[in-house]
Amino acid sequence: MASTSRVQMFARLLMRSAVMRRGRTLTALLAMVIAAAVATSLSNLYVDIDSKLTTEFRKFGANAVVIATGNNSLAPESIARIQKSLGPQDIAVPFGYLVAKTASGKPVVVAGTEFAGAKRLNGWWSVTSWPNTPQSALVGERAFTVLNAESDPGLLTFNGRQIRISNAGTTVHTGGAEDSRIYMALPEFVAWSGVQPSTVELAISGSPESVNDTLNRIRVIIGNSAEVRPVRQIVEAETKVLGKTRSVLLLSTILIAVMVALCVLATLTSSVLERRKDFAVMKAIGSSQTMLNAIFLTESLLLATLGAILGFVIGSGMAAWIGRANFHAAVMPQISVFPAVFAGSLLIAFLSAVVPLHILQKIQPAVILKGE
Amino acid sequence: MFLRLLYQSFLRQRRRKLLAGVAITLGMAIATAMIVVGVDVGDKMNRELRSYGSNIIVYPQEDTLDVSVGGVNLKPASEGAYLKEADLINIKHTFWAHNILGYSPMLPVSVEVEGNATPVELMGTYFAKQLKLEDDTFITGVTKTHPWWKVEGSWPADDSSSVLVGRGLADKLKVHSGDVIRVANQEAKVSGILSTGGSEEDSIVAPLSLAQSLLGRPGAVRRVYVSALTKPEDDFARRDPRSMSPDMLERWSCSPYANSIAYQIQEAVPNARAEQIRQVAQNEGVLLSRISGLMLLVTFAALGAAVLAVSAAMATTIFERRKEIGLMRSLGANNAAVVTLFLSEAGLLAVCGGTVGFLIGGFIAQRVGLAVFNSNVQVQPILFPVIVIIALMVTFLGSAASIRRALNFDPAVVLRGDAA
Repeated sequence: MASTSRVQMFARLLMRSAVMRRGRTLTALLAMVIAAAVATSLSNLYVDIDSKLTTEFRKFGANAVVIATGNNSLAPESIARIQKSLGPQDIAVPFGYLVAKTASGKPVVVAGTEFAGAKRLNGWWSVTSWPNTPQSALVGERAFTVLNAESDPGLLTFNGRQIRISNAGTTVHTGGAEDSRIYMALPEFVAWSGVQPSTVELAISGSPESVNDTLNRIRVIIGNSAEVRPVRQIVEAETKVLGKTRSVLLLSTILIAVMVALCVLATLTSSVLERRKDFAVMKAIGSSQTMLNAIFLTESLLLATLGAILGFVIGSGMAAWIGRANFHAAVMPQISVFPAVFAGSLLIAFLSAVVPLHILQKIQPAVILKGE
Repeated sequence: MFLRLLYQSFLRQRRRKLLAGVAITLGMAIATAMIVVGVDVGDKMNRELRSYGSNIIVYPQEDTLDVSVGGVNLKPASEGAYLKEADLINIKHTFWAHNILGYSPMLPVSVEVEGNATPVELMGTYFAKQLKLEDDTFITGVTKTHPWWKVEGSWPADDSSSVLVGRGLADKLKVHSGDVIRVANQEAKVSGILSTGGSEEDSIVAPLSLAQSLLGRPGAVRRVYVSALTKPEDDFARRDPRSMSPDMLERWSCSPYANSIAYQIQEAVPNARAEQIRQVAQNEGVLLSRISGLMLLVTFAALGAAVLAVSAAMATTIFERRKEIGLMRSLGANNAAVVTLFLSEAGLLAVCGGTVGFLIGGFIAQRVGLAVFNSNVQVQPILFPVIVIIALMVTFLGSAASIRRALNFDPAVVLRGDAA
């Protein structure tokens, strides 16, 4: 019976303290929520930054190439098997190359490829319009100038076999080797020249480890007929930039979280310290030190729990918004972040109650009540 | 009397002032550190992105088409135009000289190599060539523009006749660094084995002067790769400079877009065409704006959190002093006097907290810069007044609401202790 009433009294004290001092409780809660929200949103961003940036990096195009060894070409079935073994985000585009002659006998590189794949793979190609009718080719800007100077601009010859392409103004401009080439649809290319594709450009998304796994799977598929080469220019720069971004974000996250936590700790400490009169009154009417500690601690911890939950929700929302605003893809809330945020909040609350309680313990209630 | 009140308030309530001061200091330290890092991160990342290598290519205006398949150059050596090596230094004399981090001239020559049945491509270039500018020297070459090239052994000197042999070719010829090979009936020392992950692994890379003498064309260069710090492209950058009014052209030329740097290089090097390498230039622009955008938003979030945390700290301090306010008012102080006193206290705290916070934040930003990018970040002095003003605004805002509430209470009620 006695214990029930004590629990009731305890609950009542907590309740009244929250209700009667709404302003103070709300300010303390606000402080807790800020700390939890900032920690949550930054950790969410940090956890998600890899996948967000890797998506951006894939816009640089292929990060690996399959090249047929020697003068071999890649069998259509092994290209199909490579394409089948990849995830939905990954791209594999076959390319076949040959050197054809224009009407006046100038050499020009003609490439056969799948336009849909090439378009997805090479987003930086500045293309006037992608060819979609038979016999239409995508002509590099410099090749276009050369072809137009010819007496018969559409005529190409390879091994004595002629083909007529229409280059109805569909040019590609990249500032690279592509500008000197003519791109054709792969079936037409093969039918005309009999040359099979010799390379497959791959854009594989994911972490370096998962990219490596995929490449090893492809190595098994193609066997000895070809080799798989990571494009080091792309891979190395990606690793470097990703690493730096991750570290700067991690350091900022830690810094901001620690500082906001300290800042909130200072606020909460002063708020508990300001309640020394409550403390003194309770002690004067016979409350034990343990009871007092329990009341103040419970109050702080309840506040921390509420703050952590609210902060987690707000912080997740903030991270999602930052993801949407910056990467055009929301950052998904990571539940795995919550335990850390919750533990951190409890720790702040605990410290902010323990330090002032320890100070107050040494002072006589009478001194506080007298107002000195 | 006012000064005395202020002084005594700080003296007697040391602990309370200290805690509020700590909150302001920490808040402003976050603000400073994040602003400094956030502002600088774009510049730093831009440099990191240069590990993608060159983003501008320069080639002769009347050049014929490149005829290379899988890295094998099928273009007849006699064909095509050349740039003059001596003209290239003009690249470092353009308005954007400081943005040009390096350039590498390239001259491919097809050569016979003893022990190899088919001709091999020998690429002449700079490795780490020292060029004299008016007031200092500029070191440039593939070590700057192709940072992913790795050499087992050592890089050849630019004035030597030593060469690098690509990994694939070296395996075929069974040569190691230190060996001597016969290239076009001349002896050449192999100073290292080159691995690039690209087609260069099947060729020889030599100093430019060696390639020029093999080709019999001293001073000739086929193309130049330039690595430049650029600004991410926007709509304005994509416009054609030929269609711009003089004013617009000036504004366009004064922004370090890849296009405008290329345009100026084209003007500076006779008979040259320069353009951005879209794969690198376009994508790194997007990537850079994403990363700096992220840091900017994180900075805003941190700033917001700092502001709220400081406001909460101020609100707590003032809130607890209702009794003081009640006492002052019952002794005859008018609202203006109370507000002045409290805001002065807040202001004093803000200035002190802001100053210390600025120092701490600047220090932290430096540490972050050193830890992540291995280089110092610039703490702009102009940031100091900005931080103090932010601190003042935040503390005033945080105090204002609480002071107003405290003033609304009847002093008698507050003093009796009934007010909630």
